[in-house]
Amino acid sequence: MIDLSTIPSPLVQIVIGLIGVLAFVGLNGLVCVYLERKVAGHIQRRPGPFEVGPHGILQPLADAVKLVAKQMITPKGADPILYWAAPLISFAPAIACFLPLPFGPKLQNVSINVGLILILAFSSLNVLALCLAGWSSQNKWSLLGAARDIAQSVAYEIPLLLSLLPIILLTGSLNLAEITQTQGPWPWQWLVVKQPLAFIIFFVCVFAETNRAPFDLPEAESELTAGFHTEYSGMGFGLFFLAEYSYMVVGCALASILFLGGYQGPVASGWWWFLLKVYALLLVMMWVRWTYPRVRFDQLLNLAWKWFIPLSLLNILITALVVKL
Amino acid sequence: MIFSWLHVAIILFLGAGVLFAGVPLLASLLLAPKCKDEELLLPYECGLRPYGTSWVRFGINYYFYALLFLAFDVDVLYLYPVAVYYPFSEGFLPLIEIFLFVFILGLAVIYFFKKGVFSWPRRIKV
Amino acid sequence: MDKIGLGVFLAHVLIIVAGGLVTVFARSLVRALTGLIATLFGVAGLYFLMAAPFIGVMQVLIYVGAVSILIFFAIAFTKSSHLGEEARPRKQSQWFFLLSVPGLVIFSLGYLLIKFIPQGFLQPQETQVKDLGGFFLGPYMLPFELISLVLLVAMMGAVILGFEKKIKRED
Repeated sequence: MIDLSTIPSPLVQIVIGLIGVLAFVGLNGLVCVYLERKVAGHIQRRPGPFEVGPHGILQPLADAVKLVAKQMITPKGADPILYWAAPLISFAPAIACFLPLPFGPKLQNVSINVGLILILAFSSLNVLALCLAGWSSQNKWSLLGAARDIAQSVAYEIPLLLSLLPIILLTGSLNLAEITQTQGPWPWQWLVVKQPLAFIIFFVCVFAETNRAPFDLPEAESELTAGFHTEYSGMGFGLFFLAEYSYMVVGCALASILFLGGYQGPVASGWWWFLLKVYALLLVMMWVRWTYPRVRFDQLLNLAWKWFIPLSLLNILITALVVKL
Repeated sequence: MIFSWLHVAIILFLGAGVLFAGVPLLASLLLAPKCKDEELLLPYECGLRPYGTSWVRFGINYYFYALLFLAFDVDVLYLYPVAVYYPFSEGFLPLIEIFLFVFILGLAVIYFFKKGVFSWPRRIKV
Repeated sequence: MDKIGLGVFLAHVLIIVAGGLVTVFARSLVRALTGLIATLFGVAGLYFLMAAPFIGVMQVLIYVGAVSILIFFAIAFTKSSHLGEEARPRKQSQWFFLLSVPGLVIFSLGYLLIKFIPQGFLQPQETQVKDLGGFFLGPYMLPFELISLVLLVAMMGAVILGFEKKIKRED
């Protein structure tokens, strides 16, 4: 790893960071596919992929090659421009979300004062891509999936935004590097100790925003075939998949920066602590997926509107009071 | 005009995102087989020929949820700059202001409860 | 840096104008919406050029992320398909209105701007988010509180319009 701050020209710095992020996103896709299948396998008491490479470690690569070699089909009567623009619109903002993340003490692309809101803004574009995908494929399942996805994202965006406010009330900053530095290396100095409720609400909202089980209603196989991406074949589907994993990583990275001290750890702070925390949270997400059944649609909306929003409003009030006392 | 490095970085990252997503699509266009068949291009619908268009009309309820979301969203986003300033403010006036703001937001939630916005119909009547 | 800035400005203007043209001329309403989104995105870029990244990001979050969804639903419960009213070829009189009214507005506004161009543009300075918050809690206290009240009334209006009927129908 190189020390980004020693490079003189900002442009070179940005380009190097960009290459690093692209490599990370690609690699992360492969790792996540492998992890997901292995975790699923072991939870169901089977070994998971085992044939390609030792312990099936080359399986994601084989999957990627297979996806590229599949024919891309535009269904009859679909809107071809929007149909193929949708995966691009879904994926491109995911890359921009990595811009303000501090991977390590000196490993940040651009220090942005509005970093937190930048991530929230660009991750909210995913909904738009999914609704374009659902609408343009001229398929009833897709349209139903898109409608569900919007209703779900809309309901969970608000508690997500509300649950982050106590953190800002405590730290007084939207700069992710500064928020990291207000926390110490030891676990009891992390903000999760002060804000356990906000952490839980935020993490559940990340599940809902990334359409992960138990909130995967927009792509519920048993009811909607594959939801908004029913018609997508080959790489079209692959891009939605990659975007989903990227947004998961962004969500987990945000959780570990805001609540778990980011790159700081009890011994030898650095990017390895950050990755450790992110992947630990990702494993929790996979664990939950294979443990809980899918929620019903009214349960999903009730959880957001009846529990999370009032609770996070209360949390803001209490935090504001505590900060002043 | 101020052209900041942040702006450069955002443009570069978005462009790179489109490229990164576009290259596999192009590769797929070159590598993948190209079958052409009437049946192949039909949208999937339980294995039967699709019945009618899928561009149907939604219920109006979706629109109202989106409307509520928008109002709530704007409300919450006003709190963000205020929250940034809050720890540096002096006296108890800011606390009262935030309390009022959040209280009015809470009133909206209570109002929705009372009006039955969150009670989902067991059966949807057409 | 100034020349690059000008180039980027022109690129943004291109996105905005192209998006606007798509919005006006697209046959399908959802394509028109996509054009509108491109326009709003370009405007967000202009805020960045005016050294207001916070407002630019808010533009993306509210307009691109939320308002466009509202418009999508508004489209989705109209007869917006390619067979609907919108897809028919336009009449001559429609073209006339389409070009004359906006054209008049653009030319009169442009003329006024060039004629009465204000002297001495200041270089824009970035306002920190913290200072913005200070304004809300300090001198602009009343508008800040009124925002929440106005939005509460807006939400109540939506509920009264939309949900009263739904509840009655169920009984």
